[in-house]
Amino acid sequence: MWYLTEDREAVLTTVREFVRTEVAPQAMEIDRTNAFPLDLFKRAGELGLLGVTVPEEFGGLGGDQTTHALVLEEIAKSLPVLTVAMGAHSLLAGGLIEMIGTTAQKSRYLAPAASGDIVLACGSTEAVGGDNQVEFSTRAVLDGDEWVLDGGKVLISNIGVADVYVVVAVTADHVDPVTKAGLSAFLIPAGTPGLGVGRPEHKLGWHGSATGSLSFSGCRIPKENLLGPLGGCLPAMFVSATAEFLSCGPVSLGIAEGAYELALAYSLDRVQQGESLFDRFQVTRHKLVRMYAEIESLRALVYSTYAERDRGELCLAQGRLLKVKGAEVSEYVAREAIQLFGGVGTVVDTGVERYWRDAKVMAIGGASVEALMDVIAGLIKRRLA
Amino acid sequence: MCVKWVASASDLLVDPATRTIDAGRAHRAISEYDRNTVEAARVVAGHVGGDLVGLTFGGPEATPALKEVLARGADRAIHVVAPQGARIDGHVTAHALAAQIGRIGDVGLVLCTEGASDTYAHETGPRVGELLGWPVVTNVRELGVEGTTLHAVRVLGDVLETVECELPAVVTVVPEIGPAPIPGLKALLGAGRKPSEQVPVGDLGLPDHALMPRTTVTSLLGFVAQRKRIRIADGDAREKVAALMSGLAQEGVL
Ligand SMILES: Cc1cc2nc3c(=O)[nH]c(=O)nc-3n(C[C@H](O)[C@H](O)[C@H](O)COP(=O)(O)OP(=O)(O)OC[C@H]3O[C@@H](n4cnc5c(N)ncnc54)[C@H](O)[C@@H]3O)c2cc1C
Repeated sequence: MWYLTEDREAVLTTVREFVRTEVAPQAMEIDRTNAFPLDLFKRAGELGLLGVTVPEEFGGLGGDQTTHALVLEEIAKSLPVLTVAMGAHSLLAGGLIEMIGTTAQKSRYLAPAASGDIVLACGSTEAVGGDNQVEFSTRAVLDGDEWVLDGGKVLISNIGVADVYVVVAVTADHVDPVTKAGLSAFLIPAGTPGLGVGRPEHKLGWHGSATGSLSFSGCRIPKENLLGPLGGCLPAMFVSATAEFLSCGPVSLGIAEGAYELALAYSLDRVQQGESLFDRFQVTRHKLVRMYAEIESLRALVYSTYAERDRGELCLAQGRLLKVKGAEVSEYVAREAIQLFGGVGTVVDTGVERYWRDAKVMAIGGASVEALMDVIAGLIKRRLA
Repeated sequence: MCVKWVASASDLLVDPATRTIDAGRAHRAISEYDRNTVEAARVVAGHVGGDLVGLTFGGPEATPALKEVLARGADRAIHVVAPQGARIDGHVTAHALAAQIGRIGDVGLVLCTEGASDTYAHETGPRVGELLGWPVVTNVRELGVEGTTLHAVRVLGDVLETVECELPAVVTVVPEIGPAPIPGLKALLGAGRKPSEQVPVGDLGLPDHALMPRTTVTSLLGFVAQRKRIRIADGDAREKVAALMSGLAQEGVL
């Protein structure tokens, strides 16, 4: 592959070993129990996988974006939800701290986050106003030296295991519908009185992402826990969210590859009418070729976009495109993989249908692809794509 | 310690028709069992002090072995480079490694793995020891050094044998010597900053016969599961089981 350098190959060797020996043996069990993979998350931290792009001065590797993508792709082949937890931790929450945090906040949170000593979560979505932050009702009011938060968040990943929540709240009389000014971000340590943590939802896919509700009822945090400019966190969130949308590219690629590999192996192995499915049925072969073609197109899109990102481009449109295209390709490939397995493909213990469930959530979790398409459309119109 | 750069066995593709092996797309890394050896060497060096040197012999494609061995804890690494496509067997390998070990000087202990994950020939360590004129202790699963004495526990089937010898020595270890931790990315990317060296095998001053392979691989074929496609359809359950048992006995399975 054109994007593999010697260093990246070496990183891949490590990640593959981690996945083969530690992640894969637990993948089915995590899907079955819906338990957050905390031990794997901590191991990922020990191995440096949580801080690939975090600057060295803050305990990361100072590595490039492409290396990060390779790590995510490799893990997603086996356990996509681990990359979801990593994304909420290091891209959404960590990304925001890195971008708009004070030096003290960066020093305090980024190094332990990169090593996996603490888990971060990012709470933006609310029951009213999912992709539309203008309607948010969680409020933060300054009372002396403390911010007091009231309200609630839904569908937030890493809840319960997180040590620190980055939470978005309204700090103005109203939020400007165009600039979204009036929203601020806050750092809320777990255990803060007034912070309520719900139970993880039982979802279609991404089992183990510990996604659920947060509530704030007179939740007081020190004044210095404001993260970034008062009323102005949205521009930074737009950029940190881009990093998360970008990451959906390699994660989706990994999901598609994981499902495809299972389907290919099964098609070569399963005998029908005296031959393997692969040799017996043209339709099987053609399905696999189409799946392969989609995977390779996605790979090209993912790594050319990441190369641009490594050249310093923000990739606002392409980043969102990776999520849109990635969700589409992974869902298609995983769906076809189930079909190639026939009846046993629908059996949970076979281990192929979970890729489809994870792929399906890809089109919604973090942002629905429809909302992203509208943002991309806006960027295209303004010739910013 | 000596490590070998190999194609990962699990990535080899066997053509079911011709049984030929395609290693073209196989991932390359240091031999799986060598990882345990490197870790064992790191632990010993941690106790007794001294420099931990990773050594590999192979074509130019083996250079990444240096980084891997450095990432796993070596202080420095040396690649004795064979010409591209050169034929290499155990005889040539042992000469190259022994000559380079001689050049390093003041080596107290050489660790090899009992066998590499591709050929598993069990020959490199004993051959190197013979060429150096040092004691060789094979099949080692526990290892310690006190002063200039090596203590080792050898596995002999179900029996454990404890031996001692004076250093310098060559030891070949089995994977049970201990687990091989996965190197973190920091160690991996920092490996490039540790010293490493490439020495063309021609610079070792070896006589021609030392670099002349003594064995030739004439064929390399993979195992392919042959389905017999026998269906036992007739009779009741008892008769079907009996037919299955006699079929398995005929095949020599039972
Ligand atoms: C598993 C999972 C994990 C999640 N983790 C987090 C997290 O860690 N942190 C966090 O803050 N949020 C998280 N979310 C929430 C996620 O970001 C939201 O679900 C997503 O943004 C959609 O918002 P919503 O669910 O309120 O849907 P709604 O906003 O109600 O949208 C419903 C549908 O309406 C359409 N629609 C909505 N808005 C638009 C638009 N602007 N343009 C076009 N169509 C539109 C789309 O079809 C959309 O699917 C997670 C969600 C899931 C499922």
